[in-house]
Amino acid sequence: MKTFIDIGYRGAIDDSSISYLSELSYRIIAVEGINDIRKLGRVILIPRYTQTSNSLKRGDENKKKVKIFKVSSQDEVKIRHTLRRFHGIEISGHCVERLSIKVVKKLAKLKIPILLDMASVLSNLMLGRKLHGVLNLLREFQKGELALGVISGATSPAEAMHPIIYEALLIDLGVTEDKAYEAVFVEPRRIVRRVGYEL
Amino acid sequence: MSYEIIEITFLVVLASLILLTAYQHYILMKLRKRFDILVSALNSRTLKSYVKTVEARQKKKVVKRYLVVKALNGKLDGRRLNAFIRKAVASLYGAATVSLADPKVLYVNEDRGKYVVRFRSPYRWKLLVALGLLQKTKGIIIVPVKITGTLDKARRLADE
Repeated sequence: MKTFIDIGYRGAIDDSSISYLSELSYRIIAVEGINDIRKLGRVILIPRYTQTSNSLKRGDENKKKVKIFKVSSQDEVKIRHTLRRFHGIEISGHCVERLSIKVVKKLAKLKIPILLDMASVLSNLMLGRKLHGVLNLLREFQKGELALGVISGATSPAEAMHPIIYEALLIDLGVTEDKAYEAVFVEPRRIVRRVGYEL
Repeated sequence: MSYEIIEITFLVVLASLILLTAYQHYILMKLRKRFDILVSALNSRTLKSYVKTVEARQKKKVVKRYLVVKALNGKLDGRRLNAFIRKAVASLYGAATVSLADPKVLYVNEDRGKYVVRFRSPYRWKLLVALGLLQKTKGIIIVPVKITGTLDKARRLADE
């Protein structure tokens, strides 16, 4: 069975949720609020540190944490020099709907992996909203201009989905099978390795 | 006599060489233009679309595949799950895709909470996305276990 590394799980972690997530083949989850690596059942928990443009400050820099910058509007991408110290840029909220090609190309120049929040993509798909931002990102990803990873973005275990479903969704949005596999299974592993965990 | 012929041929070759050097740029430009036309023709959309249509003409047999899924929260009736899946595919891709994909629950192992869903192979990714939608709307967490080529193997996996 393929193992999935979720860098963007936002729900609470307890025994019942861990058993659910391990059934969904989640093996490594980056969680906020912990300082060290832990093992709960079959799942390994690693510390994560998320920042938004409202709370940009230097802190926890030396610790072995997955540092993610959350972008929810196009304007936040302009803070370029500060973005370089993060391991990934999370795309969620309005960015799923609107993210112009210019901004996507700016993001590609940063050479930081982009993390796509699949929960917001699915909710937009369900509500019949636009997915222009995601489509622009995927087009550049398909060209090989930027690195893209997938995060669940789930706030509870019931929202978390099997990684194959994420792969299917990417393929359905126009990405080739090998690229979709790379986004779901390969890129999150690369990010975790870059942080310093050899798992 | 032969000496004269050699002299004439030598002169002709010399003249052609002089002409070549004089018009070298012009000839190279012409050649390059033709080469560019050839390259653009090879990269052109029309050629690509032609290749696609040729590929499409080669009839591929649409085979049926069997997806073994596991419901994590609670037991579900096979008929209900069938209706849910068809509804999810229809809401995402339309009624035409439902008839083309033809998803159907064929086997249910209620003790283990596993189901075998038959579908047509080109629609595997669409079916999987529909399963994701099912989780989002109905709250049924469905885990795809394996896709097999035969019903026997799928049944064996469902009974494991």
